[in-house]
Amino acid sequence: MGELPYDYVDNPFEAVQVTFEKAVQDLATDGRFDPARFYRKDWGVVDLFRHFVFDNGGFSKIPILELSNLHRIKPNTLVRYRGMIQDMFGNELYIGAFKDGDTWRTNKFMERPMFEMTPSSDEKTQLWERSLVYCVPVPGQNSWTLEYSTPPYGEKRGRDDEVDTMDFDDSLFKKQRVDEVQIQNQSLDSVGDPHFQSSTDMVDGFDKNHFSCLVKVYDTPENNLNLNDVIEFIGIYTFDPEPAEDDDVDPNYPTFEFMEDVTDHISPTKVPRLHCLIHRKLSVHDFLLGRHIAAAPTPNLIRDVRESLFTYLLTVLGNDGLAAQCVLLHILSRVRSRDHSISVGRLSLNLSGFTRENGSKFGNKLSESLKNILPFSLYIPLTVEYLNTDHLQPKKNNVTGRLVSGALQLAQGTHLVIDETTLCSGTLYDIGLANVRLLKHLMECQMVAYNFEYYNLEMPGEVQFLILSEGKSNILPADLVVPFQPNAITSSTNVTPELLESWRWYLAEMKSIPHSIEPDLQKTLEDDMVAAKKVNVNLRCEDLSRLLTMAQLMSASFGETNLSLERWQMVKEIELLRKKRIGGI
Amino acid sequence: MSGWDEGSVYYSDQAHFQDRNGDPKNGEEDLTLHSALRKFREFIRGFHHFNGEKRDFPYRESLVHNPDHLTVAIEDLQAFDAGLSDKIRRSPVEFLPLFETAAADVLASLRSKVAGESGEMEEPLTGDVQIFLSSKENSVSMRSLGADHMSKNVKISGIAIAASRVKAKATYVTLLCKNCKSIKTVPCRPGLGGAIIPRSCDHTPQAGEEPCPLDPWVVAPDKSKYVDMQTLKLQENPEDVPTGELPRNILLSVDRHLVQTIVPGTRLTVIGIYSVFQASATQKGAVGVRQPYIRVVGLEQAREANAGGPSTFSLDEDLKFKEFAQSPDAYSKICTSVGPSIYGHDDVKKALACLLFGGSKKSLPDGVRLRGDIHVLLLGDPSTAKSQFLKFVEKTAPIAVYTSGKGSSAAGLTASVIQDSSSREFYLEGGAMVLADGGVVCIDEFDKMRPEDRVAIHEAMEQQTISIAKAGITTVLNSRTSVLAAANPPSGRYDDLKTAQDNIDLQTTILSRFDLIFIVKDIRAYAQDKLIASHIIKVHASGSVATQNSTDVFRGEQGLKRYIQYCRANCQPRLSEKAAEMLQNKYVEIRQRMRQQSHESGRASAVPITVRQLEAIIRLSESLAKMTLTYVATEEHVEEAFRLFNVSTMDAARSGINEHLNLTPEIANEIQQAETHIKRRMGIGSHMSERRLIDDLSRMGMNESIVRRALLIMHQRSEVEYKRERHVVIRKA
Repeated sequence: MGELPYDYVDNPFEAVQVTFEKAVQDLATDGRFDPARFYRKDWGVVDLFRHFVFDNGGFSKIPILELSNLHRIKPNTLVRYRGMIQDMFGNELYIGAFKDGDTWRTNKFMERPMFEMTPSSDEKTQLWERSLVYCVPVPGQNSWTLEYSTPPYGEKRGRDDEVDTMDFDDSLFKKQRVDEVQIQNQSLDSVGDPHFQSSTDMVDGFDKNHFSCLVKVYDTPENNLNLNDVIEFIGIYTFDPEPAEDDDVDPNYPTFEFMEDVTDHISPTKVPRLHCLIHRKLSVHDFLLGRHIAAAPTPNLIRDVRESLFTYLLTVLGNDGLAAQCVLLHILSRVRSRDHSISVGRLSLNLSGFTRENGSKFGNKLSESLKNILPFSLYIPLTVEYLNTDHLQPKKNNVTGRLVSGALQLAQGTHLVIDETTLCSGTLYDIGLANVRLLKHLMECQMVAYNFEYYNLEMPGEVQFLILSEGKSNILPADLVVPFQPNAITSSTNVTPELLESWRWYLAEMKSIPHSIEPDLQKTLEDDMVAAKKVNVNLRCEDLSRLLTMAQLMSASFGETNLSLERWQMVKEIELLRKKRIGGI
Repeated sequence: MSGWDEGSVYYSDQAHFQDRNGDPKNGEEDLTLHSALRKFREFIRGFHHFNGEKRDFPYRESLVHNPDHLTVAIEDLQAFDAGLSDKIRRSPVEFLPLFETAAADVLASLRSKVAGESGEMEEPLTGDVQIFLSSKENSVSMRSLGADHMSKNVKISGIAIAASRVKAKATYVTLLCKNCKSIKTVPCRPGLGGAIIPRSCDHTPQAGEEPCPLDPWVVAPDKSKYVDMQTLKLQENPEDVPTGELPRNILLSVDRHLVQTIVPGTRLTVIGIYSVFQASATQKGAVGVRQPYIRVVGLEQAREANAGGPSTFSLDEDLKFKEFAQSPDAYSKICTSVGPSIYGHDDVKKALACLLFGGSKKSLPDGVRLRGDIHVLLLGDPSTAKSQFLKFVEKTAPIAVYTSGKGSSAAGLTASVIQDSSSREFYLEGGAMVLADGGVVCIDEFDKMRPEDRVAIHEAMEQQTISIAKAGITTVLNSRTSVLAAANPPSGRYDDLKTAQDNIDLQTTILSRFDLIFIVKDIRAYAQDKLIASHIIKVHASGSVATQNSTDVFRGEQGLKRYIQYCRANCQPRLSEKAAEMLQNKYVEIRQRMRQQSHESGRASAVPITVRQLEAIIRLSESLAKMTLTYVATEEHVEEAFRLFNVSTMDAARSGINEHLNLTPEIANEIQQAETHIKRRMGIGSHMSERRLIDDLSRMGMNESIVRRALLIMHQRSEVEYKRERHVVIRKA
């Protein structure tokens, strides 16, 4: 492979500058060069880095930017960073190229210029744009998806409950649950408050619960980066340890309201800047850490994994087969298409029959188990106080220009467990009602209305809802209501890391396979449905639609892309059992 | 360039015209500042349209009447001199001040002229004139603004989300040297730019004098010149935001007469100069970062749905829409594109199409305005896609606000007076009805609204205004909106066994304001089931929601939206004579039938049929004509409007009649008895809780439902009235 021409990781600027100067020389005619040719264009440096990262095995050499190894990363080096886009600040204009004497220099990918810039006329400077996105850790990201280079310090949670000890101890979980609620509240309070960074729990200036990053992205086509996308950025990390010199304000400069930039409130000493060279959207597959099973798995293999996962869910759910089936279908669901307010493919699940006592037993066990197999999951114990707080809806603060995150600003594919057993009777105020409506709307339409003060903007949000309640939940009427009937209390389950990995792979893979229905079967199904409607006049369109969704998920759970009559029958059987249970209570 | 002024040489500056005519070449190529100034003067003085025989000099007129500002349409400038308008577009920084100087010059000469005519010689006061630009071109997206638009005029639209306090901005700063006390005046850069203060004094020291040090200048604030200035934040229109992205913001600076004209929340279209200023000093870390802003030179508040005018449609679209309107099945195509993902409910879809297109507004000679907006109420069982219809309308109407009756107060719907916590000033905040001016308000769960709040929108629905008299503020806000409301029957489900009144638990005052009232029932039929089943399967099989029969013209929501916008802007149909006559006869017929019916049943219908309903049918006919871009509503349209009215409102009014006719004489007798008892128990003007009244009467052996029915009938006859959310009954007559 030979020597690499540049030290990409430790001195990426060299590559940027050298290639720029070379490109200028190549394109100059008679020693004159028009830098506008590079406006919104790359002169080849991104390709160079791409080649290094993906073709020359550079990927593994790039350190991951995170709190735990921040002290070991030098500024102005190449880093990797994974996060969710929480806010987008729009474009920033910067002097992209300027003439230093007779040579053109560039400031692209740099926070502060490498060469002294003398104030000069317009012909000698070029204004270019870059867009700013504010990234935060993915809400509810589970510990198994994090790739630590070294064990993190300063953070107690996360690693301790690593996968190999799956002993479910009640007291431990209770504690964790409390922890989690606290952390959640804390994070909710802190986002959006520009002064939150001044709180005490900081490591070297950075908030340890909120390690966010301001990413500057260059030359991206429109609509390439979306809000709430989970993105991996590879870029140059810059860090400015010097506090900003506030007293050096030109007194003659007029000041007006709103003149300050949003980024002014995001101190560079608290939030690192990343100048992105390469970025890519991450899917669940990217979190599997390369531990893929066979490239083309046989149906038998899939069946085996399915069986083992099912058995596991069965144990977790106290031998309730019906509930286990439904949970399996539920966690495989995803929104396959949407039009206006209809979303096809979702399957929200309501396990009723939980009391406060067995709620803490089975409910926690279930949500903890899901944590180990799903990439992003959150647990929200519903209380009247919680609903009456202002924390669910993401809101734009038009004064600071920032989007104040709410609990419902979630990455696509997040799993949400709503525990209704913690709810007591009380009064919901306006805000509480609005929150309930918001939750319901997210569950039914898979959309969240973000508050922009003068109007609401609907953002698509793909979230799987699992509701644990005593009776059927009326606050959040799920697609599928299953009365939960455990008949055994299994104390502990031992799960090997290999099994967990195979389940994660299975869920990621089966969730993304396409579905179709053969025309022949379509006819049969149609007749079946009409007949069913004749028998039961109360059968609603939603019910039929749900049955079909379940049938498709059922066939997906076997790795089949085509719906077969067998799976349809299976689902009808489940439905029959379910109906019996509902009627029996 | 040539011919515009043939034979129209006017006024005293002939020399200028000849000058230019004599040397036409120096026009476009190198427009020097001096000649530009001259041309601007000529433009203001001499630009005219022909208005019949008379010539109109719009700019000169305007300047005489409003000497402090002048709004210039770029199109007029273009027609006058393409080079000039090009300069204004491309380098406004240099040429706009010239334009203003020219306007001031013209104003001065006009004034002296007027004074001269009256015989008195007066020294003309030369006031400053601010030039506002307006343009009919399409606004560009905030996202597309880039370095290549720098220092050029751009037109963008959005919502003002914040407005700063007004500040004084210096245009000229007077500087005083600390040492030699010499005075110097330097101009300030316009917009957010500051003054460039020289670092040294150019005073040459005399012998014995101390030389002036570096940075000797001190600003003398009282000797400087100032203008008012304000900054605004403009946010991209929500409908322009690509899915999955956040709306962008941009800073605006407005000065002089534009200051204090905008309240946050208004939709604006601005023309301005895209500029940058140096990012604030706290950002020292990132040297070389500039912040963009727009120095506004003309703004327009979007008032009507068709703000921006018909010119926002490209020729292509224009042709496409006209062609579509000609096609025989245009009406049915439009109706099928309404809520394509909703099964069945064809008439509701047709009604919503009418609502989206709207009728024609009319102003009567006496100043009364008749609304053209169509209000629709959907009443019915849960899960009959009512909310989906509302959502669809919200998405498709050019302007729409969606609210839920549950949880939204009267203030939230109309307008409220709010006191600012810091400045203690009162200000008005428009609610949904005001925000949707020129569009549609979708109110879900209309029945869950508190009755007091529902009353608040009475005025808005008929008079299309909202009056506010609170905290010393009295004002009338426009709310020219259509209302689309959805409600559940009081029992949650439409009960065929109940009377219409029982099912529609809304006051007649509000009901009569709806042009169409649909009772959406979950009808079960084999054919329908089959359709539904195959629809569901199709949706699931393809993984995409089938938008059935959607024609090319309406691909996507945007297509229908554009067509609606086009029709609303371009077509205001009126009834033809024949159609009017037919309408008259039909109306009389219906009134007669209703009278007869109420006579027979002994009570009025749930939905009264009055002049309002006649107007409704006119509006419906007009909107049907509008859909096909026909300028006259014909008998056919009236026919269809009647049909729609019949299947909706009339149906709702009729429902429950059968049940009433089937009343056994015994029950009718019992009701009669209950009525007498009620009258006996309650004197005229007395009031009583309904519960107590019913309890009392049931203790006398009356059936509760009979008592309730009797009360209802009395209520219909206005013999009793309900107060306090129907808890208290008051005897009226």
